[in-house]
Amino acid sequence: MADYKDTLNLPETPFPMRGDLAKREPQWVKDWKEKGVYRRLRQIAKGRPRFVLHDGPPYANGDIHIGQALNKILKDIIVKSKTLAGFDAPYVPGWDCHGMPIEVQIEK
Amino acid sequence: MGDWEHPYLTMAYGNEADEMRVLGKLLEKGYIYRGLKPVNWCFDCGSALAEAEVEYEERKDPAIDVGFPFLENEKIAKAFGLPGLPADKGYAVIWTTTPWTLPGNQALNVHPELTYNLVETEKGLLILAAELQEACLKRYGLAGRTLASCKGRALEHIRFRHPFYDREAPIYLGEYVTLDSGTGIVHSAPAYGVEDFESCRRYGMRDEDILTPVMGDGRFVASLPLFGGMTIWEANPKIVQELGKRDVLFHHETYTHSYMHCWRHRTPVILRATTQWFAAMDKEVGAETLRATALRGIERTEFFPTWGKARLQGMIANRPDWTLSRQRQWGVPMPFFLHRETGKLHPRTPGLLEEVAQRVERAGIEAWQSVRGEELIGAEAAQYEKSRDTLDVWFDSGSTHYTVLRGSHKEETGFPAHLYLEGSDQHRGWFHSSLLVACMLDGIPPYKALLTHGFVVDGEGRKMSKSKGNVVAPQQVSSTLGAEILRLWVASTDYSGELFISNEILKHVVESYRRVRNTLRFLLANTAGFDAARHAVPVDELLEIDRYALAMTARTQAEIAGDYERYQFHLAAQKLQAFCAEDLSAFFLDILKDRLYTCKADSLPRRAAQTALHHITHSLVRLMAPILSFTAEELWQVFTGKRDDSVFFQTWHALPRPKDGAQLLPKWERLRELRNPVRKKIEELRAAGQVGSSLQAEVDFHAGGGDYELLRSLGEDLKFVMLTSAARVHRASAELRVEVAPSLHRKCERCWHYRPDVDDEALCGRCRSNLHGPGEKRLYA
Repeated sequence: MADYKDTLNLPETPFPMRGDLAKREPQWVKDWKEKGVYRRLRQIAKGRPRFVLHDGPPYANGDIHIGQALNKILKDIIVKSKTLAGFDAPYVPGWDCHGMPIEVQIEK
Repeated sequence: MGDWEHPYLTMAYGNEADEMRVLGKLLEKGYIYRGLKPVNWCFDCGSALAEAEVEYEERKDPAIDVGFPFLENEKIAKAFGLPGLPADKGYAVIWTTTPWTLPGNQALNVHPELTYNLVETEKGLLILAAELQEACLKRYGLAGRTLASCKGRALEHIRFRHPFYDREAPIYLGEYVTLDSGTGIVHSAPAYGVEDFESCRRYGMRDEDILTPVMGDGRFVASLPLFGGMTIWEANPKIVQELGKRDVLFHHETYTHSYMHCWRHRTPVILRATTQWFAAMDKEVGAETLRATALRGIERTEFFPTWGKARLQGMIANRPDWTLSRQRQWGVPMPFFLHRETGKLHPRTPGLLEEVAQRVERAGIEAWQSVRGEELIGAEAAQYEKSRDTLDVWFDSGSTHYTVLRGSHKEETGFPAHLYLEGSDQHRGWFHSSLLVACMLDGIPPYKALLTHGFVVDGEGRKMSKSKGNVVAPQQVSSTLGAEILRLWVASTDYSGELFISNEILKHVVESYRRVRNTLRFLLANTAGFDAARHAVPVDELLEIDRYALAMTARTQAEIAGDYERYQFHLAAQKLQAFCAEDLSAFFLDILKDRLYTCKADSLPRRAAQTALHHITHSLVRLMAPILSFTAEELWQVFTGKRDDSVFFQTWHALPRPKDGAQLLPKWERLRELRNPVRKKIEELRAAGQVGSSLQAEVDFHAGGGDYELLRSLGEDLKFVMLTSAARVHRASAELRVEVAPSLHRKCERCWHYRPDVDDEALCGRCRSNLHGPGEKRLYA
């Protein structure tokens, strides 16, 4: 029987089937940092209507780590979707050092 | 993604200085006042607490019924319309769960409109609310006879004796008195209750008249008779004992109730009158009170989810004045000089505040702590005391719209912000304090919209705790499944309520991710080598199904962009997944395979398919990027081949718009529906072992009216849409009938279709044309 496989336009791509996410994500983070993606994005978005998401100073009241991740991911989704929608959407993370964390340290 | 190298810090010197400037502006506007007032007080903090620093927990306290002996028997008789009292001995009975407040008692409250009875018992006459009389007597184990009744109003100003001190307690009217529990008479210690304080104030009591025997550490002042030097908790049982000894204790039991606790120390908090700085909620500044300004501001703010509005409104409508001052070692100072005798602020306070702010800008808050009065106010320093108060931490964070958005990061941000986004506990925290500061400062809220998310619970809806072993740690998820999976979980979950997470739930997310990734891989694999500049087919020359696919993609893109705009990420995630699984994998891509694989590589049918895939990929990679950021970037680099580019530099894809897109959408929706009975019947044949693959089947449609025209309109290409080797359409008047049968023809070994024209080389006519001839023509699919 004839084999016609070679006569077909079979798909091919270096994009792997498996994401291997846990292993490869840190490389992307490094890559974005090295490329200065955030800084370059500010240049590219200059002059567009601005969208200001104001990050709250984080409050550490207990074991809410997954909650913090949730909060930061939601903010990231918003900043990115606003950017893609054509806004200049900067993200300045906040850090509060007056509240709980420092008091906990003092009282320890 | 963010400016992680330049975050804002509330403790940055410049921000601290700006916060003092905010205080100065509010002072000048007239919102800030100093006064005695019961505030939430934590003995362990040694400081006042804000509303947001108080949590409620269960606590056991003594609940006691205490008699305040009659003192003005004639007035009592008159109030009850009696010529005289039948006995000398009698009591107004109160109920309390805080015996330690009795040393601070200065009045009794009754409701003006409630009915009170004068009751004769073997322990003497009692005054009780008529409605509660039965329950009270039962509690005291007493039988009683009602002698007379009167409204609370009639009892106003009648004085009673304090149960253990040589002091009097007059009756004041209070609308807040209820019949929920107790006796209908409430003992009033103005230093230790808000209503108590306010009613005594209304009756003319001045700050200096108010008794404040409890010190900041929770002990009674040493000079207090009987209980001096004890903590209030030590004194509680001693007070109960004393009442028993004096025979004025009518009942005593242990009472479990929800009580205020410090969020830091988890110890009980009391209300305690102290001298503090306040922001007035109800003082008219300009033409409006802060409460009115804030409520008006909430009205023009958008809330996600919408119920947040009523919640914040309720909190603002009912909150007391904001206690701004704290007595803490750390924190941003309230850099005031107060006159030692009058307690008044130094007349040059605004200027001094700015001077201090400038010092703090250079050297931090130590600049205030270490400065000597003489350096700032010269010889006057002798008459003025340097305040040691600091600002509520909620004032720190509540001022960031000034200190950050208009201060340290004014270039890259702006005021007001478009959005504040935090957990739903921030209605009473950051959203609340930020609103008040901005309304005082600017008359408007610091945000145009507020978004709150719920809290994360485990798969069964339980709170996470180490002891239960149900904690899902984000680091753990990222280092095993990937941060992308966590992102997809966040996006897929409706954040307006509680968010459920467990390993089981994450497993499903991983599965969804795999399916999306497979679709992406197909898109990339079939557009490899496609150069839009050279190979793209003009949109109106595309095959009909390709034009439909573009129109459908445009519609999906608009919907998903709309979901993002409304912060409905779970809808965006759902649609993304449905688009990949149903619109692409199970429909368009499934049909496209034949054309992509078997047509001539550079033929119009194949290039048309690739043109559609090219645009779909451009649209999809952007739509998924906010959620699946890592995967989108990976796809972007493979897709564009540009290493130095990023998907985040893009905006939503400008999809080509086929002229007939609007007509194609309903037409193809119906065609997709008509695929369902075909798929079902093929499945039946397959189950019965009559066909192996879908392509081994042939389909006959018996259709009338619109369906007939619709199916006929695709001509020979209908079979590709149905994934069969042949598809025939017959006119019928009855309702649609679909017949599927195994093909009687031979299989082409190249395209796997079963056709009558398969030759000895096992090749069909269209494959011969695609391999050796001009290539097949396709118009629709």
